[in-house]
Amino acid sequence: MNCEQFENAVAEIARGVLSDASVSCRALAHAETCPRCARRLANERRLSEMAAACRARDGGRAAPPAVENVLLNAFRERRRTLGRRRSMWIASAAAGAIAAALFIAAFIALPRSEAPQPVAVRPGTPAAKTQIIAPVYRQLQKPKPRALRAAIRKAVQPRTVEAASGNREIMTDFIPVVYDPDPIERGSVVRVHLPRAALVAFGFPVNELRAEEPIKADVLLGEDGLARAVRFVK
Amino acid sequence: MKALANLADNDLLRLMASGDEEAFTALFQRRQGAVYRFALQMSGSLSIAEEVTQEVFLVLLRDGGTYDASRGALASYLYGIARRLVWRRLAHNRSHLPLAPEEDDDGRTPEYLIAPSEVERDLARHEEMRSLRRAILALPASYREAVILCELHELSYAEAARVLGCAVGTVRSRLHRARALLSERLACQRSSSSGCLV
Repeated sequence: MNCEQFENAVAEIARGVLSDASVSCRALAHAETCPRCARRLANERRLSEMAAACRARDGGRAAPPAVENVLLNAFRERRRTLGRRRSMWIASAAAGAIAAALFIAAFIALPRSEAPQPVAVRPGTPAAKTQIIAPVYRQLQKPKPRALRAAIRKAVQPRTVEAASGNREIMTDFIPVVYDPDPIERGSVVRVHLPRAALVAFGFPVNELRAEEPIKADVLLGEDGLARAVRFVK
Repeated sequence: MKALANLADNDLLRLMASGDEEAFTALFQRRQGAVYRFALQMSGSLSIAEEVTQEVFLVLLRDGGTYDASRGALASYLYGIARRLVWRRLAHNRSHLPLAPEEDDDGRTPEYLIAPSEVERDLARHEEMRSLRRAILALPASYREAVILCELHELSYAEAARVLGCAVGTVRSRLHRARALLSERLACQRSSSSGCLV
């Protein structure tokens, strides 16, 4: 071992933490032949002894009691604060739960807005001047989409329906007014009065002498409010 | 309290977090000495040591939940906090950092330096210890903390590396260099006191 290698190992030899015993033996052997390294080893050992004495002397050193008192007060204050915060949180959570329960109870107990009720068609009712008779909503039963689409596609021959009053109404099937590939599932029917001339647009023959007279029609509205089909009523 | 004394640091910390004052007291009494000594040896100032110790445990009270046991022992965590606080104070007080351990308000040497003990009955030895403390305080801070942690607090290289946030090899080389400086200075002082010129 040379002096440089000795220098690398001397501190750990003095501290007694060098794990490689062979290095330690070679270093000690070198120190026996090199006065400078021997002096270096002696100084390092002296330093380790002094450090050990310092450790022993300072081992009992501790912070003064005042520090502990300050910290204990801080601990208690913090515990109080956290306790208050926790209580507030629990109170807030309880209030929220009660409010939610009340809301749900109110939602269940209060009557809901009524759905449009079917109104019987009264053929004898005088027509409104605006040409729109009071809207007649008919909650359609869930139709079979394919059947409805087929029905709308073809305008079939007029058929006769027995009204509630006993009067007979003759009506066409629904005629689509827009192309809609998707069948409507729900909708409503509104009874209106149209100029008889409107029949021309759907390919029906019109007596020109009576062209100005109104004619009753039912307009089928989709859920989006758009007219999907119309049928004419006599 | 006796049962708490047998609990591990992590268990005490958990109890402390749930508001157990005795657990906090037990943890403080177990760890405050090392923190206080580290701060005192690093700064040479009693007041800084007290402030740092107090603040370390206040940080533990406030942020103890962030401690991750998988990253090292609680003692290392506390040393790490103390180290940052000491550095901050040393940077703040750089202009009047004592080169020797500071004295009490009445001008006397602090009691811990003169209290009679088995070791210090030999006055020469007592003087040597003062010289050692003075020499440690005169070291560059990065060397000083390596010496204090590894020599005076007997931390392993790995533990010291965790506290200092550097590689084990860095700790080893800093310690080696610091010891060489201390040996040189102490040998020089011995030579001077014996009348030799170096």
